[in-house]
Amino acid sequence: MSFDEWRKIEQLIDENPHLSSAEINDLLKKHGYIKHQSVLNENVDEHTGSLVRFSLEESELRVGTIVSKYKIKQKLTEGGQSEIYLADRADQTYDKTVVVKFINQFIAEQSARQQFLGEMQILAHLRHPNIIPIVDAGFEDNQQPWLVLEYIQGVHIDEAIAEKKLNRNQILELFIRLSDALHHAHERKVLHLDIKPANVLVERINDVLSPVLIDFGISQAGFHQQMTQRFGTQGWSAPEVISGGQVDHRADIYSLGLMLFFLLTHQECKTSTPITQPIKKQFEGNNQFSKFFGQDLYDVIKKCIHESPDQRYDSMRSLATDLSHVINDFPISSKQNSLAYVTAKLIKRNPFVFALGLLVLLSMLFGTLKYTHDITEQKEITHQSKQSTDQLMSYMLLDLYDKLEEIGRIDLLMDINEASHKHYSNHHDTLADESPMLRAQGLMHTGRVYLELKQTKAAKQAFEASQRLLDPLRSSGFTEAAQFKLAIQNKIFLSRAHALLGEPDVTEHILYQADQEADSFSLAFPESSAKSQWLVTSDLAWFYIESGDKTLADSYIKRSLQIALQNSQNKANSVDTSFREDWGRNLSKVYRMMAWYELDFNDSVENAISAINQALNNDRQLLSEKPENTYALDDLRTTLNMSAFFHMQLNQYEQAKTVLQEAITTGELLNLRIPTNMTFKRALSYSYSHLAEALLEEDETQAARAYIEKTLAISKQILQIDKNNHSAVNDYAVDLITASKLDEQTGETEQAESRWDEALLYMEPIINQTETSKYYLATYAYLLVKKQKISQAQQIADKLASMKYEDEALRQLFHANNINFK
Amino acid sequence: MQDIPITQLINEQSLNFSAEEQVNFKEVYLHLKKVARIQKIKISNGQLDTTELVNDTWLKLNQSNKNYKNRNHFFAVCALSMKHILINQSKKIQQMHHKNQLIKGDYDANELFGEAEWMIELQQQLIRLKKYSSRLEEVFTYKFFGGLTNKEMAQLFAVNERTIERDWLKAKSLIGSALER
Repeated sequence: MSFDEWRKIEQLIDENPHLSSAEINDLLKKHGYIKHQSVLNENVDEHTGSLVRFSLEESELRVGTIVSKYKIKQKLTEGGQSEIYLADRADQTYDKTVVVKFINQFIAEQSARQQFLGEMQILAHLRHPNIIPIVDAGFEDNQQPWLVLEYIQGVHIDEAIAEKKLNRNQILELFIRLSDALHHAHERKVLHLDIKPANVLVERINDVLSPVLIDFGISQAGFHQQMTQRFGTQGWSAPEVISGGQVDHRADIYSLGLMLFFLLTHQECKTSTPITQPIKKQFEGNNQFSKFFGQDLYDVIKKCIHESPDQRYDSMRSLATDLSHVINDFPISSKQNSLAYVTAKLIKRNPFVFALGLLVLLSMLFGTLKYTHDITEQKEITHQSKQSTDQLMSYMLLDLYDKLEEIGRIDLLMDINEASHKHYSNHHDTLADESPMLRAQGLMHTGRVYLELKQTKAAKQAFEASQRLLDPLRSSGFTEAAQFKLAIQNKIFLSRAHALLGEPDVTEHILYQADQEADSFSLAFPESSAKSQWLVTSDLAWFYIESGDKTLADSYIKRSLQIALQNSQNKANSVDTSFREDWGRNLSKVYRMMAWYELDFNDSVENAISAINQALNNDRQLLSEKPENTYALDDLRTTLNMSAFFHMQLNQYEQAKTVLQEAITTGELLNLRIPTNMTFKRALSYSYSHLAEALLEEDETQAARAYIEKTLAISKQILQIDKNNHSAVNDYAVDLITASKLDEQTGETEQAESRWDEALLYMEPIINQTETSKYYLATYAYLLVKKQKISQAQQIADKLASMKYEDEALRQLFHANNINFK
Repeated sequence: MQDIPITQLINEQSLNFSAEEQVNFKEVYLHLKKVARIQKIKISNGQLDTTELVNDTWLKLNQSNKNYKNRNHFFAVCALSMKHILINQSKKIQQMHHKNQLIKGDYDANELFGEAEWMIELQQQLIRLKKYSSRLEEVFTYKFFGGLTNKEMAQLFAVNERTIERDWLKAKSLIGSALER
């Protein structure tokens, strides 16, 4: 019927405004526009009753029917793509409730059907606690595909977040699990391709919220294009999915990142809430996000949802790692500094400061001491965790500390630590009760790695997180020795972190708590608590030595000595050699501590030397039992370096030289054995430079030069490996200065000049950084004076004065060049 | 949703709804279905009354939903939603019919197919009517699919009831005559 005819009908109606509907019908019939009376009724159901009923009820038709072994019980939801039902196992074997999903598509071709079933098989093999398991799949008579899934009793992630009012970190924890699940899938070439809140359920297992990915897409091999497209959802999918471009696992990274943003910012959201603006646009237009959730998290999400897949994270694993870093406030991958080696970040003294800065050397030896002391404990922990249920993890931990021990690679340690972390947090359900312990242990190890990296704040946070995990166990009472051990150890590390952050009050308080815990430990497990008690006591002793409290230092040293003596005697006949060794080494540590105490509080170098000799005897004894033992060798070298220092304090250069020769022989052996260990290298370099000094004192210029060249070579090597390490830069500069002094003495001024130039070149960049150590400034000032850059030197001198830097040799140098130093 | 004028909302071309509208339709649809289930229990003859259905749905939705300005606005969305559903289902029925697939349930397959054909034809005529006069098409859709009364539509379009009455008569006649051809 044309518009013209319609116009005529309209005209007829307009011309007869008072006619009723029936009368109009008659009129139209008369004019031949219609044939029957009353063509249309007022309501659609009067015309198409069956259609209306079918449309509104169709979904219920399946209830009561049987699919595979399952009887459809109740409809759960339906979307455009599929209908989802709850069903019970109907073959009377056992009770099982499942979810049956009918895909609204009809697949007739045999090859396509085979492909569908093949894909379902791949999905069925995806076993992961955070992925919904597929139980069965097949086709209806009408060629409609269905799949049977495990029934997950949970709510959608957005509802879970709103209901439980989850905070940022709790949401991030869920996302770490999700990334891990997706990583697992991606490794098996399975992509999800439809990540959105409606496809993530959250269930509660043992009071822990666990996200489960449902509605998995299709493997990378691809069912066919149509299927892949079916799974994408506009608004959540990556641009390449929408445009039909090349799609890989990074499309999932995009959607996950978008969902993270959405859930963080739409905590009140419900699934049915209309999305008024594309989420990506919301993110781009949101300038409050970093304020509320942190710049790091903003950067993480930005990286996830980059338009170009190449600019996104390369794997779900690296995303998960960054998310856990955000939680722990560690630097995220894009900002990770390039520290690659375990190099105790110590400050080397300046050679022109002939009265040795005691503090500097103390920190150097203390650092080495702490380092060796850590190794034993780490071995012990490793040993303990080996016995834990999770063998894989134990292996990783063993590996972790073997690495530290063998090659001193902090970067590897960090990787392993991260892996172990994620393992702990991901397997809460399988590890059951053991998980908080394992997780706490993992966090503590992470903290130790950060301590090594001198990222003290991060370390502190890791220890605190570990403590938080242990708190619930403690409040219900520790029932195992391992729990006490871990809790005490963690407290000790936490106290060290506070000490490094310059918070002596907190340090003391935490050590005091650890001491009390150790007392409870010895009451509950008298047989296993000695080591923990000794650890707390010796840390307390160190703390009071450093804070200058003679009485308390004395008391804790004595207690520490008593425990070490008692145990090394008790265990003298022990068959367990590692135990004997351990207490033997602990005893040496106490002697070395006593030496510092004598020097600090009694001003008695002689007493210090006698304590050191006890340590030396003990070290040699241990070494004679096990000549190949690397730790024993390293201990001996540490003690020898200390001994040399004390002898030089008494101007006993001959003795110092002898001791240093032995330290060097030992150090060279260690270096030969483990050439990658930077800590060993550095300690060897200290032995060389000490010896050079002793030789210079006795005017053995030639011999001194040889050792200076050696130490210079090592410093340069360390610097090349670890270019961004400020203390490596300073060490090298200091060694150049030492060498230049010798050059000056022998009249090789050009050589000296070129060394200063080189040193300045290295020092300048680190001096311009905000927080520069006063020792670096002193090195820099020396170089400036030597290069006659007096006004610049004056500025540094002012800075040093404001930092209360005390150094007689430097003062004289400034004075000789008319530089004020007040 | 509140801020979008109804006339703009229904200015749809062959059911190309935006994602946001789809969400609303889906919601309304699911509610319609829920109410239909209850009604089916109440009315045992198996016949559904869309007007009553929409009314009940409104009562249910109104308590929890703030997406609708008022009852008339909701009814209009309901009508669009119902039209959308029926046309989609009709297409599905046609497809199943062509593939000789069984339709489960106590339906007369021929009857259902006939109704589906009729619905598709109606849809085509409605598209034409919209070109001819969008106002007539709207009036038809709201009344026929959503059961809006003349009074309600008069409020919605801000015209007097008499005008709507004439519009309905015209739309019904135009569509009716076109369907007979």
